[in-house]
Amino acid sequence: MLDPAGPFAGPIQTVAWVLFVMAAVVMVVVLGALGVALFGPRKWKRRVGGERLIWIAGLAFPVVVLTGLLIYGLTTTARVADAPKAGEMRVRVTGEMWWWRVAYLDDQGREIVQDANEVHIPAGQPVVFELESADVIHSFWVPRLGGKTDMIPGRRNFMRLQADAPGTYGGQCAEYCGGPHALMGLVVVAHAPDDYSAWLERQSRPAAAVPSAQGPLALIDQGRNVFAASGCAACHTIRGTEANGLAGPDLTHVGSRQTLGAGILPNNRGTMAGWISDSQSLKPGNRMPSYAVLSGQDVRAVAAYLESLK
Amino acid sequence: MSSETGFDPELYKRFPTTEARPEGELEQLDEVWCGPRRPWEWITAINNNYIGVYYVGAAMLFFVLAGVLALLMRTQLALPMTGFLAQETYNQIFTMHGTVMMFLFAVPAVEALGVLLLPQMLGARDLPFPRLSAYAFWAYLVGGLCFFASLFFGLAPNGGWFMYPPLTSTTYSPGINADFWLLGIGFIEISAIAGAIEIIVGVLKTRAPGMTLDKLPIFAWAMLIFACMIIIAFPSIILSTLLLELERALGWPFFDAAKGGDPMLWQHLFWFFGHPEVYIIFLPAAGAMSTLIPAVAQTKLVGYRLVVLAMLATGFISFGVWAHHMFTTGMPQISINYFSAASMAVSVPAGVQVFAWIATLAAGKMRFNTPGLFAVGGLVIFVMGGLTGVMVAMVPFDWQAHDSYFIVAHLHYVLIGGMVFPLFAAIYYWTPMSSSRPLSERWGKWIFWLMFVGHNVTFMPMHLTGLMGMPRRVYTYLPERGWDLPNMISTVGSFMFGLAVLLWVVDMVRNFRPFGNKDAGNVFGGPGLEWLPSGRYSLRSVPVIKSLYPVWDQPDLARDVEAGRYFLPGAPRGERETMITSPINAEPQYLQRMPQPSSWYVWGAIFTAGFFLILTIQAYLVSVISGVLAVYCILKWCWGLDRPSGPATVDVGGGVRLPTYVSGPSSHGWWAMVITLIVSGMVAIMACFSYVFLWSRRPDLWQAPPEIGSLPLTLGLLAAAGVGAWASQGALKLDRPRSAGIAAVLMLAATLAAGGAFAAEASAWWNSGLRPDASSQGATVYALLAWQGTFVGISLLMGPFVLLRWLCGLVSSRYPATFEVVALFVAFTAVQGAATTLLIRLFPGVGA
Amino acid sequence: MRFWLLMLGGLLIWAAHFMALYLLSSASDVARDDAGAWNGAGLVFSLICLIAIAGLCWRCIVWLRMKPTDETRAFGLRLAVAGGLLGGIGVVFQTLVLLAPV
Repeated sequence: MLDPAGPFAGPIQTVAWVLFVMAAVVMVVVLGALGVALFGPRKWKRRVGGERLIWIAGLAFPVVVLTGLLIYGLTTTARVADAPKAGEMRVRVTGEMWWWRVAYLDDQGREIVQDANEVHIPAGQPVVFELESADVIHSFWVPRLGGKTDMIPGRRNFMRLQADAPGTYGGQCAEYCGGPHALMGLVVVAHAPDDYSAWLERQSRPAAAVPSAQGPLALIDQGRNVFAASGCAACHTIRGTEANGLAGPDLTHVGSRQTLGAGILPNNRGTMAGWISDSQSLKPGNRMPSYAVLSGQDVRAVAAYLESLK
Repeated sequence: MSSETGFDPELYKRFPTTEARPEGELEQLDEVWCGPRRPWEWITAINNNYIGVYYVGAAMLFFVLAGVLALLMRTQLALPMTGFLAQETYNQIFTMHGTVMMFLFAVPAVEALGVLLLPQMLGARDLPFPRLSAYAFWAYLVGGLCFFASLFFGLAPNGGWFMYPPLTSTTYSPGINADFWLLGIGFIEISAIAGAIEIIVGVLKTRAPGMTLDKLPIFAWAMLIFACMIIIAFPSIILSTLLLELERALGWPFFDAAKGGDPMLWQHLFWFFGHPEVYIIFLPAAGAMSTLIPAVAQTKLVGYRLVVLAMLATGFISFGVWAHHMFTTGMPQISINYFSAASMAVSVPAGVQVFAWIATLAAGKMRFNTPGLFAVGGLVIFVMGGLTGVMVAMVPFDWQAHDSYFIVAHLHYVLIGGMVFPLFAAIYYWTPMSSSRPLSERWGKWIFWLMFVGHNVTFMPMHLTGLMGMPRRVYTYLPERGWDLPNMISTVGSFMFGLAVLLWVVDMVRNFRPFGNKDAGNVFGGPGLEWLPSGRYSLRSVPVIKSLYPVWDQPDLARDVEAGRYFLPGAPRGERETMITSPINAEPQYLQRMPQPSSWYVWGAIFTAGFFLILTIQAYLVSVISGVLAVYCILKWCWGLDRPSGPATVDVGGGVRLPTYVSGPSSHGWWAMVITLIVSGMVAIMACFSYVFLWSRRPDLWQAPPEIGSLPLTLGLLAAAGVGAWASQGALKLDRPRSAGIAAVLMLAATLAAGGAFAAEASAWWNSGLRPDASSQGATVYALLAWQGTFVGISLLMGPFVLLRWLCGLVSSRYPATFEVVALFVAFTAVQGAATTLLIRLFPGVGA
Repeated sequence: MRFWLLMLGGLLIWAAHFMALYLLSSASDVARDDAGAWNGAGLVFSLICLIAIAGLCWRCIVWLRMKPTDETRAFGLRLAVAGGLLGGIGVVFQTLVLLAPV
């Protein structure tokens, strides 16, 4: 919040500074009056020691300040909470225990691409987030881009965010959702508008077919087989293969994500292997069991396969 | 002064009386009010001097326990990704820290202060319903300890102290942990409401004569407003805990979106209670500040009227801000804005009080003793908390700060500054009243500074971590976000705070000696009646009050009171008694006969707590037995009520004669019943709100109500019940030969009519095919029916009770109190039944 | 009873105002109408409340000017005026919301 990166966060930072200055001024007044009351010379104490202090400092002054703040607050609220406009890009994020299901929508509101845990948006324009929950109450919060909005089962909430410049913006679930709520992180990546269309187009493609192979590709091929044989498809989807499970994050392009486990680990072969073999140690209570049954070789192979899904 | 009751104010001129008091009068008074002699009498004691100390002690015990939990949490959070506490353990600990602090420490502590101080301050001998306070205390202690023990079995609730569904539904919280919270909070609600009834009647009806409202001690004002707020706010959480338990146990979908429920309903119900709750906690502490700051500065409170008004305004406006806890939920913007506006408004009265305190300090000369230090320190911390409160009242700022450590910082600043520090000030200030030794001033100053610095070191950095993006309720955090150092600093501060509390506990052990024959006296030079020489009977005689600061303004008061020169210098009937006075002008109305200790209310409390707790562990048969025993004990207790004997009037001093039995709207029993019925009515209103709210979310799920033709029967029977109850007590007062019998039979008939109406209505709905677990309509309709059914059930106990009293010859036209009180209850049941029936039958209309 | 009602009058009017505005906005949300008519009703009610508070304060000030000998009554009247003031501030704040852009 202290380092806003868009027009839905900037005004809030200004509000914060105004409020902080107000608070500091009031503290000075209160401490000053208190100081006089406790330690001041008699003449000053007499000024402060009567009902007049209460009427002026306790009633009139706060009412004036609060009225001003209220008006300022109401107008700022209207600025950062505008209703979604037609034609704005829409992303649907559904809170799950303890990850984020992401779906990019077309103009008619149909889902055109599914993803998980990382939301990509074009920079420099407002994006409408449709926020829902699949289970309990979560809250979507990317402080540098804006305030938070809860994801409540049975409701669909809307929030607009905008990143002024391309970059990566981190966030975290902000409503206690049990278990590893502390480790339900979030990544928003903003692209320059041209790059964005390219990215979205790449994302919409199914996973590239892996040729049966020798050499370095053999590990990836082996990984694909282990993936299919270990029941991973029961929970995960990799478009272009037979895996179409919906309980867990979509893995079609998991290799291209910056983080794993919903924003808590950097994404590389090592952490991928670690996650598969022992996610319960990394994020206790999460819905994916630890695959300790897989041999080290198999785990490495699956990791290599998933990393190849860029 | 114009009279409120017809009492002649000239009679006050007879006091202080001049004749010598009779021999043995003081000894008799002492004997009648004797303290515990045998071991079990320490448990059955009902005198507020005992219960008050027990109560404060229990509350401080829970404070220390919950504080230890906090130290565990801070140890875990000192460094990122530590494994000191397992995730589930931490989740249970943070839930318990909040729950124990809010429910088992904060409200009971301030209520306990009231129990301990109010009778003395008001010049009464005890609270008006001493056995009720005892019942409330033991239920709280037994229940609270068992609830806390759930931690040791890994069964503590883990959904956060406000337990939002669906996380706390059976789907996502399958164990009994959540049930512990729901049922555990239940008996704490009972004890809070019992205390509130006590305090309202105590402040308005048991004051020293002449203590008109403009001379009511400011602490009494605070407690009165506190108690009224409890009456209005607690029903909301009573209802919400009942609803969530019904959903968990029976599948009635109040909050389950799949069947038409809405998680937001919980949030509305919870926070309608939850926000006033924090002001409920703050107001008595503020009242204590307004009382001891004048003592510390040795000058009268500046702006007494404004402070009273500020507390009244806080009481009202705090009910209009609840949804500021819900700014991020996607509520309509205009609703959000209303709550923001009201949240800004509610800080104005707080500011008024703060500047009244500063003005008082300026008008006098502050002595830097321990109560004074805690008062000033608390003031500073509270103002800081209030300022961050104004910040989060601004919606855009809250959209960033909500559910982050900024809020954790804010809430601890307002609660610790606004309640904990004033509480410690109060403890140091008033200990000499209860203990033969005051607490150590030297230690007190160390404890204060450690606590003040420790608090700021702990919670100041949390503002920063919150703004940096650290959410609440996280058992750990990732490194390299800049959160590491502030968290470490917070942890160091928390141990400083803990050390301060530890030192205080040690000092209490060293110096606190209650229940002795002598107290340490007016060490800090306070002006209130509680500083007059007193015994277990409170004051030897009840003075005529002429000022807000009796000890300062009426210099001979101590001598005259002790010599028995005022009202009630002894025990005119040889029993425990106190005077009942009128609400506005405190004119004497009658002499209240007060009970001696017995054991029914203690057993009743144990069985009540047992019922709730054993229900939680699902040993249903044992729990039902416990419940039946609780009801039995309470009925035995009630059987002993309303047994008038002896002369109709009595000399209470100076030749003034007062009646010994009064029934009707002036009587304390009538008031207690009315207040109880207001609580019940509020629950019904909140239930009706829930019905309308859930309908507004899913009108498509509403099916047609039963045929309109069956409605007149229900309404007719309810009308018969109401009229019958009213006629019954009227018949009794007619004083005809067979009045008693007719009245008893009429009352029984009235309760049966209410029962019949309920049966008719419940079967009409059942036959319409609606089922409680099928939809939100079913859930709310049957919830309203169940609530009504509870009242009908109690009425069906009252009918035979009254009949039995008649059969035992205990009913007489001259003593209609029981009948009046029962009639109120049955008539209320009828009205509640009619109102709720009309709502669920006629809204939103046939065939919506 | 009259004494209490008078003393708490300003705050009771605030409470009625809050409840009415909350009900109106909930009803408008459910009816999903154009908010204009509902907001208009709210503004009218706000005006009524402010007039009521002003009336209450004026009446109490008049009674105070008559220098009542009953201290308790005077106390109650002074509280009524101050309560009217604080209640009025709350009503104004809430009315500002109706006038704000949404």
